[in-house]
Amino acid sequence: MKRSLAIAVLLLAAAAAATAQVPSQVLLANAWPEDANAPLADLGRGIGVVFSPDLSVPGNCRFYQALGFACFDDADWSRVLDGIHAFNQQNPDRPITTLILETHGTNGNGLKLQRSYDPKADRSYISVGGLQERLDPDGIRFLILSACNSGRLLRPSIIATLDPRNGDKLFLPPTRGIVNASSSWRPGQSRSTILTPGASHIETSLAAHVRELGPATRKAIAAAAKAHGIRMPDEFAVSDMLMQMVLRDAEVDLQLGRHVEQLSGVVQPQERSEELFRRFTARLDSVASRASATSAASSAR
Amino acid sequence: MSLGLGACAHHDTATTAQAVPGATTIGNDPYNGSATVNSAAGYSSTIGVADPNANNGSGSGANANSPSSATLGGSNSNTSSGSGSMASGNTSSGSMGSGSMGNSNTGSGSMSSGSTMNNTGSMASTNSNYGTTANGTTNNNSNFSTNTAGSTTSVSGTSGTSASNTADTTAMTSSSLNTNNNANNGSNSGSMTSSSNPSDQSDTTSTSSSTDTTTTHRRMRKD
Repeated sequence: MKRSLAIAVLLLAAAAAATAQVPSQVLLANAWPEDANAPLADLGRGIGVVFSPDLSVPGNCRFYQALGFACFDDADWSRVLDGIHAFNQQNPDRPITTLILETHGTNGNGLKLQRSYDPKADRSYISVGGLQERLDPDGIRFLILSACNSGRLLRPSIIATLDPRNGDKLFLPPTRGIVNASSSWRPGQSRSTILTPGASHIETSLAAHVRELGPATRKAIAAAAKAHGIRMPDEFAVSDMLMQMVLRDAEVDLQLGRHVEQLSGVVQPQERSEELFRRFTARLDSVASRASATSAASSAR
Repeated sequence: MSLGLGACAHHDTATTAQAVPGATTIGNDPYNGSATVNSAAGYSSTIGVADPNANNGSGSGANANSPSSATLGGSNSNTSSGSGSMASGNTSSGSMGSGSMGNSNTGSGSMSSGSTMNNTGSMASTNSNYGTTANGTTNNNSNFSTNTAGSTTSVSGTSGTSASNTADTTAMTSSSLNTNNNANNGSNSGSMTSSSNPSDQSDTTSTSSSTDTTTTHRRMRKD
């Protein structure tokens, strides 16, 4: 099903490429189908999220796991890739088919995971081609790059093999290595679809606390955490892009991977992120409350 | 905040008893009649301590003295249910009905729906309610006013449970915590302007950190 959807999107993209872009909502609906009746604990079913540790907060993955996501928070791409593989092996009933990358874009010079900006900190990079090649066998069909200047990551010159001598000051030492595509990999041959923000610019995340969420949400998260055998999360990090996708925001701006050359320093004002956060928390509460009401009605019957 | 107060009828030498109906002797016949007990000037009554039947009932029980109209003066102790009012210096460990609570009181019982916590300084400094705050309870604006510097005022429901959260959503809708070290465990659409005010539940104007002097979250760039 997923595969047919991906193919449909690609065909649609091919048909529309010359004149128009595929609407963001169409792309999102294929990459992350919305189940209007899903409980909060299944909000992220089929979705994996990869966090760079320095864009995360303590216990962050517990928050996402409680919402049904698969979550990875590591500075080493090799371990993340192994983790995704293992997850799909162990969860054939709910495999990851879409991966959201909450990572650095290194000014469009490589998808970067790092513990911190300390040059000696754990840090690794991967090319988009390397990512696709490694994840194809795992059944990943959509890769959503929520990274800065992500359009530049798709430049033909680096899509398969990163240039470690690009001269960018953000390209700090790859203490945990670089993952590139193999020499036999060719752009376009992967089965996964790359989605990037419509505008290649600076993406941001907010660090928040679970106590900021509504009572129904907290109760649902607590129940889900208990069901998963994990501790109740305290904090979480969430990007503007992820919030927009959860909200099915009319302004969500996705496009099929298309490379750009220009580096952008544009960043949205913080108030926009705060406004998204307010809506995001309301959305979670709405889903949690609806499930609670449904459960109560069922019990009454 | 309103308190369900059960008045009682024990007296000592410092107590003047008034309006004692029938054959009731306050402190001796705890079962009949009703009474209003007022402390004489300069004295404090401890109602219900010596009389085992006093204050421990609810409504129609022993010596309950019609809780709906009872008034406790200073330094009284109330362990019954009712809907009277409490003046300064009282302690309530019973259920609070629809009365009001004055200054410097401590309530460890529950506040029922429709209760009102007095605002004008009533929770300004040393009042605490550690009981369950029921939905519909009203805490008005000035409960946690800027005049509470150094106070230990706190309002807490049963943190982490949906019942108390729901209740607190109503209870704290227009409150603001402006002093240090106030704990807000309910929902609060007001402002928390000083440092070290932990918010365990939703606070539409707070930050995600323990210091809430700003109204924004820490933001991270994915460059």
